[in-house]
Amino acid sequence: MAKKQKEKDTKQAKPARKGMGMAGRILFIFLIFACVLFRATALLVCVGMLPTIAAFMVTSGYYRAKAYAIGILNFAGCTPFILKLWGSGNDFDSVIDLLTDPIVIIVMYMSAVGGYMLNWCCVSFVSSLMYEKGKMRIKSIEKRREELVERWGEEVTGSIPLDPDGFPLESDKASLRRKF
Amino acid sequence: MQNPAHSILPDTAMTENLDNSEQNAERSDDNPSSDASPPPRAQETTGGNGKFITMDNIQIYPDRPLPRYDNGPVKAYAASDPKGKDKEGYVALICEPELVPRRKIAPFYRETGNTTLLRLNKTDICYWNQTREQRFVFVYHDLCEQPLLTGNIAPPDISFKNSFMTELVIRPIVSALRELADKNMFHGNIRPSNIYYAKAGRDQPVILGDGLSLPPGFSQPILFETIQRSHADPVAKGPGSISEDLYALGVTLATMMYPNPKLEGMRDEEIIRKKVELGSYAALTEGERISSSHVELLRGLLHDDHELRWGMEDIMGWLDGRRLTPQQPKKKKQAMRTLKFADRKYISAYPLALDFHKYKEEAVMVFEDGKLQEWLERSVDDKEAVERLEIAQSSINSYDSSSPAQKREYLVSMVKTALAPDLPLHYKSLDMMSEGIGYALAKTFILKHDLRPFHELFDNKLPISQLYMQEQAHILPPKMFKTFEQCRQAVRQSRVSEGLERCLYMLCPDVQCLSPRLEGFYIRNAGDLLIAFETLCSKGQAPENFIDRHVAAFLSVRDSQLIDSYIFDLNTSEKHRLIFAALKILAASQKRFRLPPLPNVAKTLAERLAPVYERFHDRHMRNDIDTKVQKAARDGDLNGMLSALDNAEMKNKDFHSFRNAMIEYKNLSNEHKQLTNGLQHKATFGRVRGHNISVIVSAILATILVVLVILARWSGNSFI
Repeated sequence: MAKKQKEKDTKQAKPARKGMGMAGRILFIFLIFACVLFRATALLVCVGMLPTIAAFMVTSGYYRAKAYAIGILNFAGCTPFILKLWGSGNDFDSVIDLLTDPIVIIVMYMSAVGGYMLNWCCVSFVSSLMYEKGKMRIKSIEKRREELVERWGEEVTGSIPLDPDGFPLESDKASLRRKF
Repeated sequence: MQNPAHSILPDTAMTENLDNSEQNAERSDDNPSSDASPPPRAQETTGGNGKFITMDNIQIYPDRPLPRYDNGPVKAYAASDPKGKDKEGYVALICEPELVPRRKIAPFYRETGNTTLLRLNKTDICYWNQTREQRFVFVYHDLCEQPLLTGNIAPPDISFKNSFMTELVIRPIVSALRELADKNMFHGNIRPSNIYYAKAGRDQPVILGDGLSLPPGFSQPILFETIQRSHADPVAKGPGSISEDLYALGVTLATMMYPNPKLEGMRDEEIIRKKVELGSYAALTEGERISSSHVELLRGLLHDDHELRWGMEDIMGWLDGRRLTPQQPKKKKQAMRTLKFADRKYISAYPLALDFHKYKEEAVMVFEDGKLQEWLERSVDDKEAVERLEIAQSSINSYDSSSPAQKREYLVSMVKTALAPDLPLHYKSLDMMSEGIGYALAKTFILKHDLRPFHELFDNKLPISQLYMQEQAHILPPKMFKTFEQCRQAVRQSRVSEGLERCLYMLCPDVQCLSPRLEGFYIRNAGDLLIAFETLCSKGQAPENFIDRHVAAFLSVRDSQLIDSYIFDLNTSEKHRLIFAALKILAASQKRFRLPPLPNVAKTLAERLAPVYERFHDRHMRNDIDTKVQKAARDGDLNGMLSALDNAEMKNKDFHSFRNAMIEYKNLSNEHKQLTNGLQHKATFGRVRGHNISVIVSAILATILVVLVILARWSGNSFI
């Protein structure tokens, strides 16, 4: 029963899959054209960005941000080699040369690892920071609420029935006196 | 136990100084909307090692009684004004607490200025050491020698000459009565023992004594009362008319000039029966040879028929020498055959009415078996009486009571009234004239006797029925229909300011406030009330509730503007409303009577104001208000306390601030709930934001890297 409930919750938590929008379709067509036009570059990018593609495949929802972080740094890691390719004629031979160079692969993939590490660090840091801040905020709310109750009485909490003037009804007033 | 009024006289002895203006005293009592001057204070209670009691400028000597001035239970004492010019001295009549004096008419009495009337100097309140309570006092000028007679009837060895009586008694007393009649006042105490020889050097040879220190006619012997009034309880005779005073004058003349020795030692019942059977004139002058000059006068004055009795015009005409013939009394309707009732035979309805209440079982029987109605219809042929009896019959039939005894009392009362509507209203053991009910009720309240008969009386509309039957019998009833109807409504309500207490103050304008918490004090108005409270509070005897049923009814009747707006609050169970209403009423009284600071009342009230503070949401505001209230309380300023509390702008601000605080609290609670829920999942808390930030950081880092790479390539330094 609990398992079913969990499944149900998971289903609810997953964002509903949407079809590609008009902008996405245009972008996709543009990429196809770009790939056809810049075949060598496209090959370099496809191989160099494999970690990003993998990250996008394994993430969804708000975790997709992790894939973006990986992807952005992965792309930055590919950039010198793209520039190098463009500087050496932008042909298949050059691409093959580059792709067979382990340093190139290491640099590109390590930049993706850097993205991953950066994401991990940021998430850990920010979440613990926010957790502490949240705890402090709770304390501050409780303090403020105490101040409000102290100044305006228990009736400010809205937990007891009040008359139109905002005062506890007589029967509740007696119970309040007993309580406080 | 010492009476709380003791030793507080300096605060409570307030003077109705008639020298200033009697109208002032009336204003402060009856018309509070007018400017009421602050009550002056006596300087000390006792002096001369306790030999005298000081009352404003008058010193009263309790060890120097003046018995010749005594008026029944009211005792007279010598008094003086050491600083005054009057060398004659004064006489102080110390009123009894349960017998309400006629203090409201005192100012009008003094205004008459007639030299035959005992000259009233002032009325006031003093602390009477002997009984340790405040007493109302009438201070008269001591102008009299001995009374004409010490008893009611002249002894055989004393004879008064006709000329003496006419010129030195009748003429001055009639002039005094005329002045009283002009002011619609009734003396009620005309008898030989209350007519005094004036001291030498006075304008008039005789002086008519006090008639104010007791309820109307209380001390008047039955002999001097008309048949109707003589049946009423002494306290419940009520104020009569000039006609009753003239009747008393007639009896006075008869008992002095033609004393009937048979009357001496006769019981009251016998006197009444004799008067009923023979008529007053015949009963009083039986066997006496009356001088021809006085026959008309006595016949005229002693006429038992109120309408045919000589009035002021007639007696003035007689004094001027006109010879008038008194009208013959109307022939009473007599039955063709007698009615046997309680082993006695009755020939007319009136004597039957006089005895009807004495034999209640027989009364019920004779009425219920129809013998009485049949007798009235067939033998007496008194159609008006039959009509009245039918009214009584229908009232009795519709009377709903589970108690047979109560129904019997009601029946007797109604039938007796139907038979003789001019007689006092009889109910249970009470016999009262309509206007005397208030005095009787006051006495019952003061002596803490059973009040239920009065409650039943008003609730069953008996006084209204009597007035209605008086109208039917062409007797001019007092204009009290509305008052009795209000009394009936009052006794049917249990609210504060209603009930029998309200009836008391409506029916008896002279009575002081009879709150049980104010025993020993004589409270005439709200000013007296406050000063009494101040004294009680200073002794730590503050009443639990300042405005109790008596005080509320008293103020509502006497000074409705002070209290009527707060009647609703006084009838709630909410403490803040009760105490705030009390503060408002007392503050208004302090302002109205321009009273000096009342620190003890203010302190007591301030201690009880917690429920009122609780009507402010803001605790800070409560503290601010409390500070202001305490300051005003220290100054004894009730109005200052009130203004600190009764501020509409402040209340409005408090309410709106409270509403905003409630909204803030609600928002905080929602936030708290969200945060608490989030913090329960520490592993996921803040991760979304962390991811987003990581994207931004990686984007910045990537941009920097790309720019560096581009710059490097541009500069020709290819590091890869």
